[in-house]
Amino acid sequence: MRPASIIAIASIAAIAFFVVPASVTYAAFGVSPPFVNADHLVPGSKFSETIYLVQDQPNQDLNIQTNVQLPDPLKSWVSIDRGFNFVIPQGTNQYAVTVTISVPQNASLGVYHGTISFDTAPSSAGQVTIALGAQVSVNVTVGRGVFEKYSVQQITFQDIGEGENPLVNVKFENDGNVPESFDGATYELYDRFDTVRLAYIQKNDGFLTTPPFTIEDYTVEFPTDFYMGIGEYWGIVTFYKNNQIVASQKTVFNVIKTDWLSKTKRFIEKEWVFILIGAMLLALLAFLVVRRVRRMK
Amino acid sequence: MKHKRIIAPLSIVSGAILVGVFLVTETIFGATSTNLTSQVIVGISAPSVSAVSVNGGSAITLTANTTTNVNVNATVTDSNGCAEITGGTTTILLYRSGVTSSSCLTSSGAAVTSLNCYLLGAFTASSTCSTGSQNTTTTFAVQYFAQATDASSSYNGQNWMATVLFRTPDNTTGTGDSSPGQTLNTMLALNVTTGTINYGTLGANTNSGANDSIVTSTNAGNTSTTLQLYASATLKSGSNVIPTTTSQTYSTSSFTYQGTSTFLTAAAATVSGFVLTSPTSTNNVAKATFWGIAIPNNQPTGTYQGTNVFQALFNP
Repeated sequence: MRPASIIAIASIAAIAFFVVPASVTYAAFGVSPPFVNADHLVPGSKFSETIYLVQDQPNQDLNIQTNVQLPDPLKSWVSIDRGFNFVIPQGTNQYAVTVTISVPQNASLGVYHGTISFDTAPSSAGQVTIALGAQVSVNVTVGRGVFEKYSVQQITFQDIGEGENPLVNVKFENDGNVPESFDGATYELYDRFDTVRLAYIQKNDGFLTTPPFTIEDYTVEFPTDFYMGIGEYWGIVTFYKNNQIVASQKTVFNVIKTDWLSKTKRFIEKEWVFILIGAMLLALLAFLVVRRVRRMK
Repeated sequence: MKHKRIIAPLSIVSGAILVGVFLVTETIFGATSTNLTSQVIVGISAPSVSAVSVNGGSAITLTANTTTNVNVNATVTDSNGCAEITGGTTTILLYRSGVTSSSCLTSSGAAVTSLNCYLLGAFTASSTCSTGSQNTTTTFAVQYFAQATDASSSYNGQNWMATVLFRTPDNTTGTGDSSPGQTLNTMLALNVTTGTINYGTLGANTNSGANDSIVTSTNAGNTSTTLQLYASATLKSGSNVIPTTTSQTYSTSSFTYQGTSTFLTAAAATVSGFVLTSPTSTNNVAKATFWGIAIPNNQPTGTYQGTNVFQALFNP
């Protein structure tokens, strides 16, 4: 064989390109919801939305790379709690990522759009490895004016200790741009057969306020002179705002016997401010007594 | 039944007065010791279902290409006691509000499917039954294609409700609805049937010709999606690189390189004409992309590695 031929064959061999399939276990990947819509922001607003990165086969840690495509000034207002590169731990089907938009006080009013992409980064690279990604659209409107929108997502009745006041847990969702709270509530207490009304409690103040664009869980206490003996009761609670019913719930709950430890714990939880002040006064008194004794010596 | 007379020992004086009154009464009415029979009929009371809630009061987030557990909690009460509850039967419904509980219950209409209606015949007790009251939990495996009700969905203004129907052994019934229902969020998700694109073995200054590599994408969410593609890592073998923008191409139909195919880019680009509609069952909504490659002249041998990203893009 002539040297030229050998060189030609060698050249062909040398420029051969190999792509061999790699064994990669593959899972579906996505995001829910695929948008962050903040339509009623005003200068100074802070808005947070939790989105979930979802996958069906979380067999291994999954590296995520975030790519932000946002215009100025929106880019400087947006933060992601997980950062731009993070790992979804093995075994996690739904991974929460919170996107927060903090609008400065001097922000220009306007409508802003952009995207945030979350792309997987497979750890076991093949030749041309396929990575999956999902894009979240970000739509922000900064304007003026009050926007009110709120709802109660859940009401539950707590079991309480003997002699305690009825307690109701509320999940309050405020989608508006101003703080919101109830301005009234009623509580009707019935016996275990739901036939005899034992107490009627009206409450017109003391409701906690939910900041704009947030969901708050809190407990509402209904003080009553009626002694809550051990047993089962029916309760009907209704919450009002601007003389309109916001939410209502009727169900049974139990009054249970409490041991001294539970009573002490509940007392501390309820009266911790006064206990703290009392402890500080006692400490001060002890200090003064000790100092006086030392001076006398 | 013989009734016992219980006289409280208030005092000797009051005791004497009571004895006196008793004797006078006996004298007047001629009453002596009498056996009284009393009877009470305990009626059958209907059970109550209350405090029905969906997913702990939170919006429902689905999981790509699989089911997600969604809990419905409720309290069942019956004044006749716990036996009425433990011996009863129940039906628990979870449904999109537009479907209505009656349609979901009877599964009537072609539109009532796992897209919008789930039905189970048993709950799990989440408390011990005391004085005829039982807290319950029912867990539904909701499919990834269940219909969204958020503001960007086709069912904006609706939500997912739960209804619990309970029937005692005495055949009395009670029903409770969740109030309010919960939003089911839109989920955008994608799956591919292969983890790699296999171009085989090619020489320098050649291309894949008509030997397209095929990647099938499936919709793993509950909304229609388009597809964006880009190369997140260009093809490399050691220090040798095959430029992405002049090598890999794709198309939604088969081609002979380069034909009508489009070059892959380093920035995400939407694939024209590629839409995966929202699935309506576990049958895959799938579509293929066809891939080809050209190897530049004088490209050194090696096993080249790179990464192409298939990115789902919301397509309402």
